[in-house]
Amino acid sequence: MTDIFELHGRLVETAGISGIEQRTAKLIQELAAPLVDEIWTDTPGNVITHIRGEGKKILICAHMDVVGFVVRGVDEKGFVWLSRVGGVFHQFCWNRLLRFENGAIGTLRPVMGENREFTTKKVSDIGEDDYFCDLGASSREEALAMVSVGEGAVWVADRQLTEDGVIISPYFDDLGGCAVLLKLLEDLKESGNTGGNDIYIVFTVREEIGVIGALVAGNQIVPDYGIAVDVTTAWDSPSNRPKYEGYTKIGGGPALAVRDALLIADRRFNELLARAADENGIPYQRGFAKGGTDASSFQGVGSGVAVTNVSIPQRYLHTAEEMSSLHDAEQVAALLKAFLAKPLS
Amino acid sequence: MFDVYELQTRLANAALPSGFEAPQAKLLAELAEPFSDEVTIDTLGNVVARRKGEGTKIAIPAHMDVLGLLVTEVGKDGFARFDTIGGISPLTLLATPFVFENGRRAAVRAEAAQIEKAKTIEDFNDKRDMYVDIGVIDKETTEKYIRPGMVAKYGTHPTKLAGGRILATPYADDLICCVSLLLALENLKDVKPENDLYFVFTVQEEVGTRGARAAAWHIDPDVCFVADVCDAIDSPSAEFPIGNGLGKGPAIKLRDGGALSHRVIVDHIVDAAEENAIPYQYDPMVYGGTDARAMQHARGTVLSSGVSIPTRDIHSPYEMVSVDDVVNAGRLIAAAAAKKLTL
Repeated sequence: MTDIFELHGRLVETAGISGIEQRTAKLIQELAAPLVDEIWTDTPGNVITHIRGEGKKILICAHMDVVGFVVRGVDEKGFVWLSRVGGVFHQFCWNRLLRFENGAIGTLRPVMGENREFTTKKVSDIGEDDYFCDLGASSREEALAMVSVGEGAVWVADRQLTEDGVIISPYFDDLGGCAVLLKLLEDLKESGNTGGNDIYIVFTVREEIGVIGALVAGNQIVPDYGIAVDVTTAWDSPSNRPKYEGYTKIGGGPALAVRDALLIADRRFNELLARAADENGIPYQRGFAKGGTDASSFQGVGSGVAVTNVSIPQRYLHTAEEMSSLHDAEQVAALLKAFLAKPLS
Repeated sequence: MFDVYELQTRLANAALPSGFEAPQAKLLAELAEPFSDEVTIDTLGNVVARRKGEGTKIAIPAHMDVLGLLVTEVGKDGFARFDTIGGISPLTLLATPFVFENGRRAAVRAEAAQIEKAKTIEDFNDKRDMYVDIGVIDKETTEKYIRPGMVAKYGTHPTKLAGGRILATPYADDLICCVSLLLALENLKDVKPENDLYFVFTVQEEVGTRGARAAAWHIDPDVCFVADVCDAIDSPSAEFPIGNGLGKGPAIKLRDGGALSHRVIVDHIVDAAEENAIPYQYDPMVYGGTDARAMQHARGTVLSSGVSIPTRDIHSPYEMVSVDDVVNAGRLIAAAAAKKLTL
């Protein structure tokens, strides 16, 4: 049995920014290959798996890339200046270790330290020039022996699964989704029950910089139905809480997307999923995400695709302490398994 | 042989914030014991390791308390409210992982309304607008693990950088100087000191040098060599007018925000460095006080100086020091402590 938390941990070890997903792709390919009829990697790097069936074509995807940084330059003292990749919040992204592609480690620090001008700087004005990476190098030459311009970097941070089943970790967005889909592949292999559906489970690249990989995957597959398995905004903490009840919360079950920044989900498709959830006693809620997801990018391929997100609610997206519920992630896999067990019409 | 990284890791793993130092006190007492004539722990919790001698009575304090959070309330929604123990700025609070004494990891975040209205980082200074999230489900589950009075500390770990030459670590301030005191004790193992030595691992420095005052009262020293961190100003995150660089040697204290060093003591430490070919800089720290102040004020006059370790990003969860500087601080403290000091 695949343990989603443990599997996510293995994926986090391989994490790379958009465009640098190769190590993650390699691991996923190794894990998925024995579970599917065919598997290939396309030009941008999407890992596409196929379980053959006579019925409707369905594409289910999660993205492999994570948000992070890329080296802009190294100054004469050996400090590394960065450019963010994806929706990292400049404010409070620091006080972390960074791991560069080739394994070099450094600390990410705000320029103004604890005491200075930063305290009167406008929060909204904080930008890429306000933080840097310290490798402990004593010169530009020493630093350039450790990292090179253009190299990607990701956060290194502790992960924890709490007694209440909450995962505190960086990069559950969306390596958590990838772990869920690997679990789903295993479950489908084990049950052998895929409802005769023609199933493509895809691990996409470059989602965080504009849902690019999923478009390429959609063009190749031209599915009838499409689902993105991603994280969605949890509106259940003081930092992000509406004044009314009914909001998405962690631990409340999978979230069927109503909308996100780039998508209005297909309502009939959502009702099919909701029915499968009800029939199998799986709790679900509705999702209203602040960001966009892969589903929007293949909505328009071919003569149009019915799409939605089946999402894992999450607090503090794109920070090093993203919080999600392991229970929700497991229920996403369970819901998709139940849904795929019946022929789609 | 003590290893700097290993000692700092053991201390950082054990350490709890000011007022809760019992775990690191126990560990330090154990580590100091084989190299001391006598180790005692006083009422406040200061650990005193003695090397007995005939001469001048010298107290050598390094503080073992660290910064952290103190839970003040668990709200109806399950999110805990807190106050800081010691000086942690909003820059750090909102960007740092914390871990509670029971191992639960936590993040500090700000209220939505606060985020909207805050124009500058300074506007985040009111901790009533922030909360701690331990992966909250509801109040009931939170209260199984967190209650008012519990403390949390930085959830980061000592990390070797630049091939092991540099250490990025939580609580270099001041556990790394506790390490240098242990190194000094080890260096003095087969040496008969010409002074009467009291190595003191003090409590409650970060909340106002409270432990050192009590220690000075019962030790009643003639001289104080304080071991604490001082600002390194060799990175983009420091623009102090004066300070030091990493790897250029420990810094001999000229002053800090609370104490002026005495010429005789400064010269004594400089002589010890010169005689033993130990590289050194001077520490002319302007901001912040150290245990030297408390020791000076405790009783009659105590003449002071000290051996500081230049540190980048003091009070951040990744303070950065040079391992060579720590080793050399241990050598310098040992040399200055053993060398006859006549007032």
